[in-house]
Parts: sequence; C-alpha cells; structure tokens
Amino acid sequence: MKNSCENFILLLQDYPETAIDKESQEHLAVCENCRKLLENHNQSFDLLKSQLTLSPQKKQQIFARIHQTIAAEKTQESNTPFSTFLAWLFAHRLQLVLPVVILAFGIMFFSQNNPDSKIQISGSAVILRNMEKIELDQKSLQLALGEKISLLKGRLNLFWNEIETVAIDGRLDFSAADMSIKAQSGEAVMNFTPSAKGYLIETRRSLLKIVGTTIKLELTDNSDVIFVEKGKIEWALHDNSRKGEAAAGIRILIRADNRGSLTVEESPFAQMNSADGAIASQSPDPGVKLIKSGKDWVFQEIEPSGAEKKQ
Amino acid sequence: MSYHNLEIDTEFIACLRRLDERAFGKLFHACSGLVYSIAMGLLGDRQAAEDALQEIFFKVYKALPDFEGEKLTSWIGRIAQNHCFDMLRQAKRAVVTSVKPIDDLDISQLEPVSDEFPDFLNSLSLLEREVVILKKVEGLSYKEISQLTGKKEGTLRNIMLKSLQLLRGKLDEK
Repeated sequence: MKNSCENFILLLQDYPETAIDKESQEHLAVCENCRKLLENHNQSFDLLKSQLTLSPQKKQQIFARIHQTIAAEKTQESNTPFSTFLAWLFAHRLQLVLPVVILAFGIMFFSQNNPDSKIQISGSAVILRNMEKIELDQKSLQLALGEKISLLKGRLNLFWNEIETVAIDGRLDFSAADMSIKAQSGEAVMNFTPSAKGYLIETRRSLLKIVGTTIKLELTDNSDVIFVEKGKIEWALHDNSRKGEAAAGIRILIRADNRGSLTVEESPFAQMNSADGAIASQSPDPGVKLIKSGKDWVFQEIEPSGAEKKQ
Repeated sequence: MSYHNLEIDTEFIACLRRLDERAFGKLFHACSGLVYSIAMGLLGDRQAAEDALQEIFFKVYKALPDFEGEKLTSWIGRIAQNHCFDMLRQAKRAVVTSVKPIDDLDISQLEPVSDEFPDFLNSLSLLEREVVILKKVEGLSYKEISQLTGKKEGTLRNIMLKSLQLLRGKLDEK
C-alpha cells in the first residue's frame, strides 16, 4: 500500500497533464489518505489559480499604465534638439522640396563641369567616341572617368586636372581614369610628361608604372609589346608572378599561348633616327615600323627591297 | 492567444521587434498571466506583483528590438524573474545587511507568510514556490520551467515532490 501511495504522489508531479491511470484509480478507491491528498491538491491549486488570475479590467488598467510610460518616454526622446530638428524638417518638407531639387541640380551641374572630376583631351587626332567619329582639330573635349574611346589616328594630349600628362600617337583603344590608363588594343607611342610620374598603364596582361618615360605599345590579342623609348618603367603581370624594371632601349614582349600562359621576354631593341631626326623604334613585326614624321608618328611597311611605303 | 503559440509565429516576432503596438498588446495579453504568476510567486504581494508586471513589460518593450531568436516566453520569464529578484534585493538591503545568494534565501527571511498562498507554499523557498506556481498554475512543462529558471528538470521534479509531500504533511497534521 505504501508503495502505491508513493507512486500516486509521483503521479501528482505531472497531474493534471498526465491523467490518473487505472492502477491509481484502483488505489484511490481503497486509500483515503491519497483521496484526501488529491482533493486538497485540487482545491489548493484551484484557489491559487483564481488568486493569481488578473481580472480583464485589471489587465487593461496595467496595460494602459504601460502605454502611458512608453508614451512619456517617447515624448521625452522627441524633445531632444535633434528630434525637434527632424520634426521641423518633417513639418516643412513641402517648402523644402524646391531648394533641395535646385541644390541637387546645382551639384550635378558642378560635378559635370568640374575639371577635377574629368579628363580632357585635345590635339589633332581622330577619335571614336560612342560610335561617333570626332575630329579633335585642337579642340578640347572632356571625358568621363573610365570612358572608353578609340584613337583612330593622329596625336592627342591627355590632361588630368588641367595638366598635360601624356601625348598618345598612333591608334589605341583606351579609357582614362584617376592617374591611370587602361589600354585595350592598338599600337601607339605614349610620351609622358614629368608630371605623370607614377601614372599606371594597365594592359590586358600587365601593369606598367611610369617613371618619366616615352613608351610605345603594341597590344594585340596574343601579345603586349612595350618599347621603352626614354626614361624607365616598372612593370608587372596582373597576377604579380613576374615583375621588373625596364630602362630606355628595352623591349618587353609578353606573349600568351593557347592555354593563356604568359611568357615574358626582355630584349634590347635598335632605336633608329628617322629622316627628320626623330627617334623611331623597331617593331617586332619585321614588316612594319613606326617612325616620327613631323609631329606625328606613322606606321610604315618595309618593302622587301628596303624602300618604305607610307600606310 | 496562448503564449505557447507565440514561439512559432516568426511574423509576429518580427512585428514585435519593430515595436508594432498591436503585436505588443497581443504579447501583453498572452504573457501577462505568466509574468504576474512569477511576480506573485517571488514577491508574494498582489500590489507589488501588479507594479512589477507594469515595470517588467516596460523593460520587455525596450528590449524587444534586440530580441534574438530564443524562446520568447523564456526570455520574458527571465526578465520577470530578474526584475523580481532585484526588487527583493532592494527590499532586503533596507532591512538586513547580510548578503546571501537569492536562491538560498528562505521565504521566512523576506516574506514570512503571504495570505495569498496556501500554508504549504509558504513553507517553500522563493524558487521552490515559483516552480510550483509555474507548474501547477501556469501549466508549464518541466522543460519550459528549466529554460526559464536554469534548473535541471530532475531538480524541478524534486521540488514538486517536496511541495506535494508538504501538502500531504499538512493533511496528516489535521
């Protein structure tokens, strides 16, 4: 019997979630103490439940007091100078729309015409911009940062912050950004002014840092050829696997094989004086060479007989 | 709406975190009973428990934007428990100077007896009384009480057994 009483009290631990089983019911039928315990258990906890239950009115009163406290705190927060300013802005939002729009247009206009944020080109060259052929004819033209253009022929001077940084002769697809030029393809001589020290030329395969230089680029699908005419450059492949310096008279040939692997060759190249005394460099294509004629660089085919033919 | 259903409603919890007033009202009406029971269990005084209920839900409101994914009822329950313990500590500081962990405090040291409770509950410690109320009044499972109080389920079962034995003892006295 005692065992059954202990089992019954253990059952009460989970009662009423756990129902009184048949065995316990049989025990209750014969055990007055456990019957009284169950009765008292139910009475005690029913009474306690009723005492711990808040009336709906009481709940509502307390919730209203919580709301008041929250509202009071919000009011206190909204009385700070910043929130007062925000409230003023909100109240005057319609009156503020026009000045804000004018200001926004002003900023846009200023930024579009601010030479600091644009690159200028000029010179006697023909360029392709947005599929439109433009003859510069010494006129100045502003470029957006990173805007792609193609130099078709002639020579253009590129200005950064109204200071001439580089003269480009030949034909070259490129875009100019902050102290850098991204050269896609073409063949051109780039003559940097001393102020362009540190300028970066990014080709598809390499990065060239200008250290006071005249260079000639020949960029094709399979190779970059860089002729350092004057001064020197620092160069590096994009993956930084190879890098170095090249001084005047050095040709760097970066060639890609069918699998995209790059080989780099550095070799001296012969600098030749053209008829007017300007320096010309030897192209890696033995059938073509770039020479300076007056102000312009021109490509000439070398006839098998040795006579030169203007392209 | 029972607070048992609050846990799975993620949209409701998202509304609470945005301090949506309707959601907060729903939360209050679902959980005020639990919080009041905890407060009554620990404070043993109706007026103090009502004040605590108000203060606890104000704390809950302020903490809701930071609520992160844990069980909502356990979270609210712990806020309630900590708030009541703070109230008891403050009350005790005003009377005695000795510092004792709150779990070890016998009810007789703080609230000798509460008219609100049956005698056998007045013989229990604060924590024991809270456990019995959460189990028998609020109908929480031992697992839920464990999450709220940080006590192991076995300990909670022993507390319940102790309270039932006390109840039986009182009957034997009669």
